[in-house]
Amino acid sequence: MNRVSPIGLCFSLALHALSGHAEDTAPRSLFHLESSWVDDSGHPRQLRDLDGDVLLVVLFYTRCMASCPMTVKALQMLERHENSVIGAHTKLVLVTVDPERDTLDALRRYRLTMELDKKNWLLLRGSSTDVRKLAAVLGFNYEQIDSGEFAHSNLITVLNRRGEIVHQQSGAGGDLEALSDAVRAAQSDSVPGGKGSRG
Amino acid sequence: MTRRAVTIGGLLLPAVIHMAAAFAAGAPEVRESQARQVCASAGEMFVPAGRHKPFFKSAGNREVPVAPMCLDVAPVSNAQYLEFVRTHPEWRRSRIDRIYAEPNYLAQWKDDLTPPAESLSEPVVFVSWFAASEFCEAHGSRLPRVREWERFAGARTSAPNSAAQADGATGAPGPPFAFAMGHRAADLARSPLVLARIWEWTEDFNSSVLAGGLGRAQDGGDSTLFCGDGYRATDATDYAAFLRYSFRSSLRGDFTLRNLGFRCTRDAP
Repeated sequence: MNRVSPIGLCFSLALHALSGHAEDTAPRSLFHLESSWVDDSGHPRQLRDLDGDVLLVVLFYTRCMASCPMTVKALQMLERHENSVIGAHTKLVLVTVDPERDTLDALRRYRLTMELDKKNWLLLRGSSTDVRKLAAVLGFNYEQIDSGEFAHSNLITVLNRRGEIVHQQSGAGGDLEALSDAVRAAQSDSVPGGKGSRG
Repeated sequence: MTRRAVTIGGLLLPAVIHMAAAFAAGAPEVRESQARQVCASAGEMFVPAGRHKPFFKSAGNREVPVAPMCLDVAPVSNAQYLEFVRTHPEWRRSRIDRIYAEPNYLAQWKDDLTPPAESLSEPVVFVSWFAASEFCEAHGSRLPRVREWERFAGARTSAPNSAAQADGATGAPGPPFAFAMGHRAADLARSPLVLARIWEWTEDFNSSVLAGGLGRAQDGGDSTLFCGDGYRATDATDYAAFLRYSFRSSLRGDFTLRNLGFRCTRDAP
């Protein structure tokens, strides 16, 4: 009875989503998302406070043993590269999907363990509702499983200075060359705004 | 969805006293009948506590409990959504922020306050998850979670998995994948629950991670990446469920689709 192959079917389902009006130029900016966060120093943060910076956003949690540390390490390679694209007006933003266990203390410990530079890395914690909203905007899927671990997407998102998604790619094992190209493009703002990535 | 106060004082008072006395007695069946009345007085239906077997394997493959709910009998209609945007102008088509909905939000409406006259009682579609969540919140309720939705509408069916199954009553061709859009749970077979042949938003629609943790929004736009995960299914022959989980995982919160609406629910008292 299953005459439609699952793969073909999934593809056609996803195509439903590729709608939209070409003439629409209103920005789809994450800075417009109503959500509030606290950084690991305890300072309240709004995404729109970061207006003007190019941002690399990753959802993670500190107990994650598999892909998250690899993604963070990949971003560190990018950061420590001799022609680093990270620095003034380009920040790395880690947002925990496990606010219950990732207290500010846990985030501070993570920063120390992973040696995350204060200037370049922002570690954020918010309510589970705000996390769900941010994930819904990014197309990031996650679910807490029995062990208390999370099954989750493995995704790095690049936002331009206006908070629009200009690039997304898989984190661990992703192509760092493509990522730094995307960041450079966002820095020089040659990426057309308002379209976002439709993956 | 709505909490219309029933203030027929004199008529209701004896019933309330009776219920209160019975509640003090604490019998579960009495609590259930009280909950039924509370749901019904708000125009909602009572869905008793149940269990849900997660579609994807996890340690132990345990069933999870699902708490009783007061559930909207049918998806939210255009007329109901019109009332919402009247009182919440920031969710009108011309005003909504692009981060919360795609440009074709409420595409079938003629303007901000004019749904098509012939479909006022039809489910509202072309609504985003953000808009749906806000509607429910404004009514003191929320979107059902995946496990809740699957508990009331995820029953397996013996109907053929035809992509365009004809409508049983009228013989008219149904929407594609109608067979996957829900079947009433066995204990709700005689309930008024309406499943309207649309997909429905769930609060945690983005909680299914398919195909090794790759999300849908990957570089290269390869939307097929997440579709190889049948081996993790607890019942790989439940094609309809597989479709629902695939569909949900392919969504993003701002997506607005022709065949995607929503209903609200809240915890039963």
